[in-house]
Order: sequence, then structure tokens, then C-alpha cells
Amino acid sequence: MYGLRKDIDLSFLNGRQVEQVAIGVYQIQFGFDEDVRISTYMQFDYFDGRVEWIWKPEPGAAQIAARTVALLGATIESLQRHEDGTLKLIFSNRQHLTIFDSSQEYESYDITLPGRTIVV
Amino acid sequence: MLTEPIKSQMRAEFDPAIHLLQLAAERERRHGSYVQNNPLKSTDPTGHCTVDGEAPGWLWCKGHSLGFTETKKETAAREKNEAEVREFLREHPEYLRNAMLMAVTLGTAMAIEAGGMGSGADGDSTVTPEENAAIEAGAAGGAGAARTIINGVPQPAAEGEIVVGPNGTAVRIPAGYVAAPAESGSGIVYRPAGSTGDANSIRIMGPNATQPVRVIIYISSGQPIVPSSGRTGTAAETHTPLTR
Repeated sequence: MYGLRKDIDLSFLNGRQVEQVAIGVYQIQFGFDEDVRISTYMQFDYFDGRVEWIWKPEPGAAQIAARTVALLGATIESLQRHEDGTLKLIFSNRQHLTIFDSSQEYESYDITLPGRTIVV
Repeated sequence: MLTEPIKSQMRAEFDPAIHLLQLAAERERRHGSYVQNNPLKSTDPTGHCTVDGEAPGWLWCKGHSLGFTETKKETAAREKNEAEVREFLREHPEYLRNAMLMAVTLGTAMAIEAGGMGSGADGDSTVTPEENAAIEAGAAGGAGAARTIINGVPQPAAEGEIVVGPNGTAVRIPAGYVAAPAESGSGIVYRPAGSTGDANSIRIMGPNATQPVRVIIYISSGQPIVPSSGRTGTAAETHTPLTR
């Protein structure tokens, strides 16, 4: 909805380790060390090294979200970002997570860390 | 998920403003009344519907599902609720005075949305006549004491407060909450002092071209909830408009 402005610093994501995947009906949360958390609401693509899976908050999506537990313990090695709000996280296990800002009406995801809330 | 005892406690805490909250609940109920309150199992191949014994055309039904049209019964209920709200605010001007914080908050959220946080100019230009009236009512009532401003955002009272949006939706900011701007131009986050993440936070989103100012309430799991039910829901269900 809001995109991702260039001046928003996301360097804190580098090196963060996935410590938790919380699966809800309408939201998936990825918890990292250092109290960093990404909550997704609209759409993300998860590449498990062989297949790309698409999660949206719709029936049956929890099974797709469940596949992302393979990210537990992996760390973010690099990231790619775009002003349209797309954020691609590349993990140490060669898996990828691409989160999209795919809604014009509602926030697509948010990133929180101590003292900051970034809403996209 | 909120348990019934907690919800009961919240109702008790909200009690003075319960009539205001009923307005939001009524809107939620109407949104679900299309296809007999069971949109997952019921379908509407013809676009027609029957609500409160009325069966107008498909356009009316579509409008009803979106909250634009209402039955005579719903009109009567809404007018009764609104009359109760007006009466309640007349008897309890302190809640109307709290609208001053809401007006300041809305102005700040809009200024942040416009990328002009702190300038005040953008926010001032978007204050509606109703918000101006609320500000004047607040000033007249002696609620004009200066608020602490941190990072351009007015802080809620330390003991907490109930604020009422221009459309009658009430939001309770609990005791011990602080306010901070959300990055990406998306309004204000109210959260327990010292906390991080979305858990137990309340976020007021700035408006955009198609959406008004909205509020989202998150529970301890960090998931947004539908205010009228306390359950998680879709984005459309968990975003409550604060302005018309």
C-alpha cells in the first residue's frame, strides 16, 4: 500500500536468524533474533530451493505457510528491495522469501524492531 | 484470541462509551448480513437478497453488502444509536473533549501520510468541520492543556483515555501507552511503553486516495482483530474507519 521508500534503512535485516514462524489464518509472522519481526498479510513467495510456493490469506494457504518452517535457523545473507514495496530476502540455506506490497487498500506487511515500525 | 472473561472485562472498562462501540459493531453486523451471514457457505448467483423482510434489487443488495444501503429496520436502529450517542456525549462532555486528541491525532496522521510531519500545514488543511467543532468543544471544556509531543506525535494521557472519531467510533488507549510515528508514511502506533512488535498495539493509519483514516487493534499474538468480535479477520474486517 505504501511502498518502500529508499530512505528507510533495512540494513538491520542482514545477518538476522529466523527463530520463529507463526502461522495464522490471515497473517504469517517471521520472528528473528534481535527482536526483529516481519508480519505478512497479503502475499509472499517462498522458494525452497526447488519449487516456488505462493502464500495468500486464502483457504489451504496454511499448508504452504507451513513449508517455511524450513527457514528456521537460517540467516538472512542478503536482501533486495524495490520502491514498489517488494522485499526479497535471501537466506543462508539458499532459500528465498519474496514479500510483495500487493494491496492498494491495506498494508501488505510490516517490519518491527525495537523503537521502529515499518508499514508497507 | 480474547477469552470471554477478558472481553467482559474490556466491556466493563469500555462501559461509559459502549453506545459508541455499538455503532462499529452494527456496521460489522451489516457487512456480514449479505448471504445470510454466511458468505463462506452461501452464494448469490442472481445478486438478489432478503434482509429484514425486504427484497430490493441486486444493486441495493450489493450496496448493502458494502454498507452503502440499509433496510428500514437498520435505518431505525442506526438513528436510535446515533441519538443515544448524541445524548451520551451531551451528558458526558469529557468524551467529546477527548475528541480533541483524536482531531490532533488525525491531523498528525494525515501530515505524516503527506510526508509533512511536524509542519502542521497539511494536517490543518484536512481537518473537517466536525473535527474543528470537536477542537472547539474541547477548548471550551478546558481540555486544551498542552500534550507532550514526541517525534511529532501527541502522546496519550498516562492514565489512558477513550477517544472518539468523528464518525462515532470509540478507541480506548490503555494506561501506560505511548505513541510513535510508523515509518513508510502510515500513521501512528500506540503501544505499551517499552514494547516492540505489533503485540497489543493500536495503529491509526493515515488516509490515502481511496481509504479514510482507519484504526487497527492487535492482540498479544501480534494479530489484528475484528473489534466487534475479538477474533482475527480479513484486512477489510480488521480496519475500522475513523472518518466517513
